[in-house]
Amino acid sequence: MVKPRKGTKVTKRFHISVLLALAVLALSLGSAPAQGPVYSVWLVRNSVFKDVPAGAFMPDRAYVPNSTDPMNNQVFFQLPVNVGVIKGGKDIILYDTGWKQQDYLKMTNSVNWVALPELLTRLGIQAGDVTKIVIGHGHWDHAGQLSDFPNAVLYVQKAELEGIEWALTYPNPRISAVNTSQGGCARTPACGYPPLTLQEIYGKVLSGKAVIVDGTMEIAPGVIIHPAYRAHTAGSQLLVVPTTIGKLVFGSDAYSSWEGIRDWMIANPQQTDTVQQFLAYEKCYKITGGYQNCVAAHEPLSYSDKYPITKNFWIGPNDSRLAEVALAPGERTRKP
Amino acid sequence: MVISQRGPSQVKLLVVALIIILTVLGAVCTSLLREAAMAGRTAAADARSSLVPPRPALTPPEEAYAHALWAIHGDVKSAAVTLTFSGLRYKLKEVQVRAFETGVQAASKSFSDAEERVRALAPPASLTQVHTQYLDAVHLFQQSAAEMLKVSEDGRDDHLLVAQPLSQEASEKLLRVGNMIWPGEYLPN
Repeated sequence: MVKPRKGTKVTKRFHISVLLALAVLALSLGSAPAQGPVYSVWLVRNSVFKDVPAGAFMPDRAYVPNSTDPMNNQVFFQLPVNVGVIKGGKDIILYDTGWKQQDYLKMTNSVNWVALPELLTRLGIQAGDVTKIVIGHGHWDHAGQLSDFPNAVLYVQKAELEGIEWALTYPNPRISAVNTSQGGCARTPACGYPPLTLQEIYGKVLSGKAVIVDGTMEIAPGVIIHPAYRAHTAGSQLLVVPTTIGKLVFGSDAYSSWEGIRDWMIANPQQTDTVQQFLAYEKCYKITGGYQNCVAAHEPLSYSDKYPITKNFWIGPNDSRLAEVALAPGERTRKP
Repeated sequence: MVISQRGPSQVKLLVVALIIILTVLGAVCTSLLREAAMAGRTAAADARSSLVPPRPALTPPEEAYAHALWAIHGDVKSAAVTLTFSGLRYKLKEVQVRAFETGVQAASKSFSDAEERVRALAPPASLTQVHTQYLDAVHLFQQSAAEMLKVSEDGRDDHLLVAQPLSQEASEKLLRVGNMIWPGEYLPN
């Protein structure tokens, strides 16, 4: 019998160990939800737009009297105004800033409004701590309250600014109209941008606290802005955020309804190119592998089990809602 | 008796089953009570908001004034946005000072025209304050434009910083007027 040499035995063991280590490494890499840093994410409800006709929000879900089909048996939707709060590294990032109720801006049929700085304190964050604000688009109910965050750098898409200016200077007054009727402005490309909202954006530019984004941009490690041109307005933009539950994609009004993304139905189509909205939906499917992690701005099912990423919620001041979507390792829960 | 006919193991099984059923029932009741409490709180908050008295309708003279001012309001808002974008594009170095100046001057002229048209309106007594407020807004925009035009004289961007709060205040005044006479001016977007 040939006795194996000691060196051969050690080499074999070494090879087996290396193979095992590689296998373990491969498995662990395969199951990791995201590479690189991960962020903590909360969603907060700035207010609710009450009794919006179902068909005005989602044409496919227009109310049909006496219908028993859940698609068409709702007269109204109660639409939350959702704002994303993202924390990681040295950054506190807001995705959208909702709108600011004033004595002169009440918004008929809106309830449960709470100032965004007050909601943030419930998460242990002060307004002055916010470092970056990404607005999904420039409409008044998504880009309000900017001046309440003096240290934050605003990220707005170049195409959004160009789109507003184009609409307002279009030679046909029917198209450039900022007012369509005293009942409100919803359909022209110039609607939704009151002078005050634009002044606040301009204020950020003047104070050197604005970045005009032209396309895609990584604003923090792994946190990436993707343009979604005309998916709601000319320069709509999405935000991808890596978390422990995988990547989230915030969509503002390009993702007005999460059910719309799930069921491939357009939503909030006021100035929307519906083909581009579908392509924005597809982007979320491609980035996240499905629809569960697409974060919608006005999903009526928000803060319930029916919209799973928002199910871990609690009730805040003035009957507002806050949801803990994902926590980075070592981050403490804010849920009371 | 029926129980006496069962063996001790069957009785034990029955007791365990009873405990499980009671536990499940307890959990269901607790969650139902929690849901009811939450719904109650939401309903209470909604009820509070619905207690706000509805806004009284405008009188015919007020309606007439609101309609007349509305026609001017569109031009004022367009000029306000032109003013904003002139400053914004200049600051972003997307336009030269001449183009900036042309934009601000155009906005300034629109404000002057608007002022003349607003002055020609005769508000009902109940809307005198609204009328004054609207004129104040137009004046603030005019002041802002005048301050911005100084940039083309001495090339100092500081004038934009002085001008911006004036435009912002004017924009707020427009919303104040809108809140009084055009309550549906802005819809959820």
